[in-house]
Amino acid sequence: MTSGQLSFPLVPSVYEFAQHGQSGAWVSELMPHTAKIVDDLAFIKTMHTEAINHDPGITFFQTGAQLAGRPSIGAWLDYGLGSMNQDLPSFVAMVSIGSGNGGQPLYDRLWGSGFLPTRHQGVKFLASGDPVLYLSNPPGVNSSTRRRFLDDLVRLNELTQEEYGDAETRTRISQYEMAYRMQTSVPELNDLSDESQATLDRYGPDVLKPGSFARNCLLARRLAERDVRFIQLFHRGWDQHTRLPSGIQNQARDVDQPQAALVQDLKERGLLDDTLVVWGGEFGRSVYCQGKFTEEVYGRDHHPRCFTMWMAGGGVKPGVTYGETDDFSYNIVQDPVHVHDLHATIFHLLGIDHTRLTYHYQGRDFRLTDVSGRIIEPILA
Amino acid sequence: MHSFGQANDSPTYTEDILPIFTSTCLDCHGPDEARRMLNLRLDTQDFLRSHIVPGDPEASLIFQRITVEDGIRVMPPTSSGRTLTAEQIETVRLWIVSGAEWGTELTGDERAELEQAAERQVVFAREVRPILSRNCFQCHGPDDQNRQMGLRLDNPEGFAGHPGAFGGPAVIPGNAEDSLMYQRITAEAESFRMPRDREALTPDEIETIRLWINQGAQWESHWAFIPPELPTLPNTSNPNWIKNSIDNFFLERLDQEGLSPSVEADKATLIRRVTLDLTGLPPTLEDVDAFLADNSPNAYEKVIDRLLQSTRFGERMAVDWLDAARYADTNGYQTDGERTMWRWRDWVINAFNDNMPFDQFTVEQLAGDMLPNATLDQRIATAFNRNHSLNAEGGIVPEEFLIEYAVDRVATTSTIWLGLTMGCARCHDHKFDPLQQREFYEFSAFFNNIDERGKGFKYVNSPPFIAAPTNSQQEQLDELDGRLAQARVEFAAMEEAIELAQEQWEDALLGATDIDAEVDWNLRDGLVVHHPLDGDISGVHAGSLAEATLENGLPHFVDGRIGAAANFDGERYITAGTSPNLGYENEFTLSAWVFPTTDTGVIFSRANEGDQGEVGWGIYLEEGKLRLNLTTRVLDDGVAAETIHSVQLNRWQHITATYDGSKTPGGMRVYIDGVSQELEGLLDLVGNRLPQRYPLRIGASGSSKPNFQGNLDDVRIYDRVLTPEEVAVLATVDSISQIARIDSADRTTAQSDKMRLSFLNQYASPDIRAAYSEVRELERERKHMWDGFPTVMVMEEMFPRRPTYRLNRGVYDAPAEEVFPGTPSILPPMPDGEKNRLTFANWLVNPENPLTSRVAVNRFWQSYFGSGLVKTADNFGSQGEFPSHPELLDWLSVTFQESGWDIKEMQRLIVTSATYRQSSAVTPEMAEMDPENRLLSRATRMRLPAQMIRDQALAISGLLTERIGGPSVGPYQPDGLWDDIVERGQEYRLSTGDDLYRRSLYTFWKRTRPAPAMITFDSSTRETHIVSSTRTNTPLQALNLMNDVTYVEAARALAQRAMQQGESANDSLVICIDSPPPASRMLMCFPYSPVLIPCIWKCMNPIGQPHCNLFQRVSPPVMRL
Repeated sequence: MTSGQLSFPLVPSVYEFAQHGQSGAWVSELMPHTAKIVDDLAFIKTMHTEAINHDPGITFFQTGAQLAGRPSIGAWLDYGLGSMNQDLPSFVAMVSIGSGNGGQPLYDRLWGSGFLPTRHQGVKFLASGDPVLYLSNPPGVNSSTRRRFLDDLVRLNELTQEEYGDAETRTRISQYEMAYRMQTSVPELNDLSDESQATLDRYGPDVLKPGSFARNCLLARRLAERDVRFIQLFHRGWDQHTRLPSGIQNQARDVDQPQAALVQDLKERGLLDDTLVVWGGEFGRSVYCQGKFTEEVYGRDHHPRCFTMWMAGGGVKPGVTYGETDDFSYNIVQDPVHVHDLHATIFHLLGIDHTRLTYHYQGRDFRLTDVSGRIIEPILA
Repeated sequence: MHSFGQANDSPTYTEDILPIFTSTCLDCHGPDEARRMLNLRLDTQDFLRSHIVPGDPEASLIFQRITVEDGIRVMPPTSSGRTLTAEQIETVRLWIVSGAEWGTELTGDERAELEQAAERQVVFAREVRPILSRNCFQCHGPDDQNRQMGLRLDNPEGFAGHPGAFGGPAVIPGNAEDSLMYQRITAEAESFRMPRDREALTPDEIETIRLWINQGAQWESHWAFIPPELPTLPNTSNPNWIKNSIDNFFLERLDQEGLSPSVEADKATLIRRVTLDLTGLPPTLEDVDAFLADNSPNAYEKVIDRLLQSTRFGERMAVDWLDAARYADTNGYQTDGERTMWRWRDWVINAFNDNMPFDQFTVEQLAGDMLPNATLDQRIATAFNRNHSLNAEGGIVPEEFLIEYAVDRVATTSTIWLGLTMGCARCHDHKFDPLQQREFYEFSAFFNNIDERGKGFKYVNSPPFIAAPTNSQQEQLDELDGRLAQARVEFAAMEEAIELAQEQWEDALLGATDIDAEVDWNLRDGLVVHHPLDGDISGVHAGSLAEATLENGLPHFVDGRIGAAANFDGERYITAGTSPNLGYENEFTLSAWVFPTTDTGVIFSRANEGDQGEVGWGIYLEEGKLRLNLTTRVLDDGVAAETIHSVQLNRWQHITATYDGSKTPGGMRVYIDGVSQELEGLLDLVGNRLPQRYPLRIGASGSSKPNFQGNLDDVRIYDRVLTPEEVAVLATVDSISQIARIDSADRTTAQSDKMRLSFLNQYASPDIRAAYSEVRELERERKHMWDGFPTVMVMEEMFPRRPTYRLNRGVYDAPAEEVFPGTPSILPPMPDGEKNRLTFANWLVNPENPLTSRVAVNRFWQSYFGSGLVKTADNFGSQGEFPSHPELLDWLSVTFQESGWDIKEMQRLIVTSATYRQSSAVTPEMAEMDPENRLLSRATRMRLPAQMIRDQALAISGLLTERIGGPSVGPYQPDGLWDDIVERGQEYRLSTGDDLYRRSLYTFWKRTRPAPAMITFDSSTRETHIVSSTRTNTPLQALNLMNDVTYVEAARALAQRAMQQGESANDSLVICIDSPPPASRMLMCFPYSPVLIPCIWKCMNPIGQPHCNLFQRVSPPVMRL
């Protein structure tokens, strides 16, 4: 958006950065809780992407291609690894709305199945109304009525099976049963009464607000405990083309305490060893100012050439920082990590060779990493 | 081998029987495992124990099967073309009678010879090419840029001619062992083995290649590129089973496989199946009863006639086409704003209902705009290739997306008509099919020659689009046009009288000498803001007095152009309320008299300083140029243009700017002293809305732009675009009294126009004014009506043509050489002459094109059987599947063309075949031999497509509203579903009344969040073209059917219907599933009703416990049997 701008004044952050932990990782003062767990994290400071706009950018991050039509990461994983859970979907997506300005929409394709069969698509958990679409029985139908209905249906379907011998009927029976189990398991998942006050406090006050990032972080831990394969939290509101100082402060406050709590909580419960946490966005922001520029008011445009992500747990080496940019954070000078590389690394950590998880479609073996992808060995434990 | 028949010589197997079996049986029951049927092998001793009873031919299965008289079970099968002579049968009989001796075992050589004789003949196209394509073409295929070692295996030259890096050709016909290719695929050392870095070929694949080389390595072109010819109908075992020619092909294959077709489905099942398949809705109770009662031999055909005549047919056929054409009601991408394309959707429905031939259907959608005297409908048809997503996100590079749109059209068009994955050749030569990257761009040159926007408009259609009145709207328009023409005639008839009256009036004006009698007139039609600035800063806004405030000083007036004028010193300015609201989509005219003393300053505006520059609209002097500016973000969201030439300083000039609401600089005009100015477009990137919060400021804006210095007079805003004549009149300062004094021959055009307009508007007699205003009124009404018509985005050619380049790596900013429209060289060439979209469309449906007809009939086929004859309906290339029934595919495609591309006849042909009418029950034998039912020894039991599931529930509950076409509707969906995804004004609009119950193809389709009831049931997202979808089974589907308010309402409505109409349980069930008892069949569907459930249990399961809960439901039927 700033390509027509006449000048590009470099704007340092109004917020202080300092080194933390034994690893000495640099963290902004906006992330005090995260600063305390840096020794559990592996920072990648040299992410780069091919897209400069939200839609192609986030679609690229989620599906390995800028245009719609490919499966999302979670759909690939469900296709490749299958489910470990009989009561919940194996791929869950949750969206929270940030306190900063500039929220961008998040489209269903970001957790969609693309050309994979739709059973691999992510199920979006919702903060208001039914937590999963159509989960609640209609008025007048309670759980026992529903059970009797399903019992009838099983018998009917079995008759069909006998008469037509179509194996799909068995699948249908089992899917209805899983739907019934979800009617119990999803509310149970959302019921936080078995969480200690200390745990709730750790995630911060927002944890009591359904739909907040904090609540979703806690739910993510509960889903991980229940062996849900792939859990993705989206937090909106990072698009500070203008008025960045106030916007970023609010956004950082939204996520800092909950995300640190999530990593710690997983660690204390022994879940972090086999849970990979990945944190980041679809691109970075420009080091120069967009729009009005005063000491307190400035904005930043999209910047795909370098940006930072972190990973934790699941076979990642803790307490490392990988990659180096130039002094202006404009270009990478050492160890670039492309989105395909990140995907390859995530797959590797989950035990998948990214070159071999393929799906034959329109005459071609497609994969998440297209024809590239390099595993980032130095951050592996 | 000796002659049999000598008295003492009992026949033995090896000497007497084996020669007979070798020539007739061992092909399918011999040593070759891949070809062996039913695992029966007749060349080893094993079969003697199980199939022969020594001494008793009648009890021996082999003898039974070679002597049986019915045409179905006899061996060898009729379709094999082989028979046993009476003499041979007698030899077999004698052999069994005499004890079925085996005889002398064969020597190794003899056995090898035998195996050779019984060896299967490998068919290159069916068996070898797919192996090569899958495993070899990626490095040794058509891609010139990445071919390894220069070896090419997708054409005949590559095999024999290649000298090879290791010496010798890749393949030596007749000698697999010495052929490099065979050596490399069988090499044990991984470093040497092919394909490199991939799994080795399977033993079966290696054997196929060995046989093929040994059998002479015959090469054939890819089947799909050879034009189909009408094959002769095969003879089959059971002519009585056959209903039409389709069945010959199927039965032949079943005969070969030793399978029999299934019995015909019962009538109730059949009518439900065919009604759903042809109309997307279930039959009514009356339909079922009538069919069951009709015992005439053509009862079924009568049903088909009725269904094909039903307008529901077009709606049903349209659904698949909308998926293929990626039709949606939103633009996709980031903001996914609304568009209006339903006029095209209705065109599709009508085309199917009118049985438009497929060639016309093709040409009109691809190039209807280029047909001679193209009709509105033909232009609407071209919306097909505007259905793709359109990006309106701020900051995108428009050139990049222009490429994406052309690429989408290429991919969609090539998939739908040619079954080719041309998109694979965007960045490099195709890896599998002989399509070069250059050819991809030549193909794209047909589709990029359109004056479109890379960055689309966010909330509305983007150009080019046309107004597309519906039939009834067109009738209203015609009626109005009739009245308008009449009014014009009546007005014209008064012309002489008017001229005379005007002369008299002008004479009277001349005669008036009193200065008080000096009169003037000005243009008030559409005037919404007027500040005369004649010693007072207030104005008239929308007919009412509007107070104004002078900011930064005190009012200062000087002599003006008309009366006094306000003086501005660069500090003071006027604020005057917060109207009018002028957005990107509004028409307006701004005008004033200006006397500038500096070359930069705001004349008037409603704008403020935003974070990214000025926000709002205004008319400015910018270094002498006159600029009309509407911006949301100065750099990349807005529309602006300025004059090439400057205004003059220190001189009165009249300025006018008009804007037609088109969101482009092309919709702006600027006049100085009534003369239209040449403009330069400065910004053409409208995206978001234009904020309307800021005050009207005269002489300033709320931004940092300098205030005006000099004098301003007679500030006006009109809510319409003034014509050039009107602008000239506005710029005419002379009063009508003054003009009256000028001899009419000496007047300027503007002066004459002013006299005429003022006379007609104000001074003429009432009858003249009435006639005049009647015309104006009707013109206004017509414009209003026209503006209210739906629009549709269409294809339009652009002149001169947009140049097309091959793009290195497919990237928009890496153009290589220029290319020109053309078709891939693997297909028959286009005729000489101009190559454009129209000649391209004609080429597609030329009978010589080997693909179009095959691809089309294959898609029809898959909608009835779940899978096409070519399973990969989107890919007929090298990586696609070889057809299950190649001769049938050719027969259908030639028949389709020869019928004049008659779509309805093709559907009739398919659904009247015996193949289609079979029962869908699966026996364990079928499940084992043909799990995917590609041989169609039964009908395919299919889960209904998403739309049909919902439509059926609406139909059987009686809720369905049947009305064809119109704007898309908003049926029930969960509250707040779009909340996190839409901008203000784009929220979901829940329909009311019967629009809640329209067929699902009318449901508003939002690409980034499609209706869950559709997407959960595997509908395409419509983000890209899809010609075949998977059908899955998920818990979300179960939840949807159990709890979606649509189904709850349908259940309640059905229950009411059953109770109120007193229908028997049986009848109600029939309504649901069209199937009378036996209950087991009806029950897979459901009872919605409290009345029905106990009844069901009674008739179905005498020991079952009935449950009777009010409005309890079981499950809507999702299968079609």
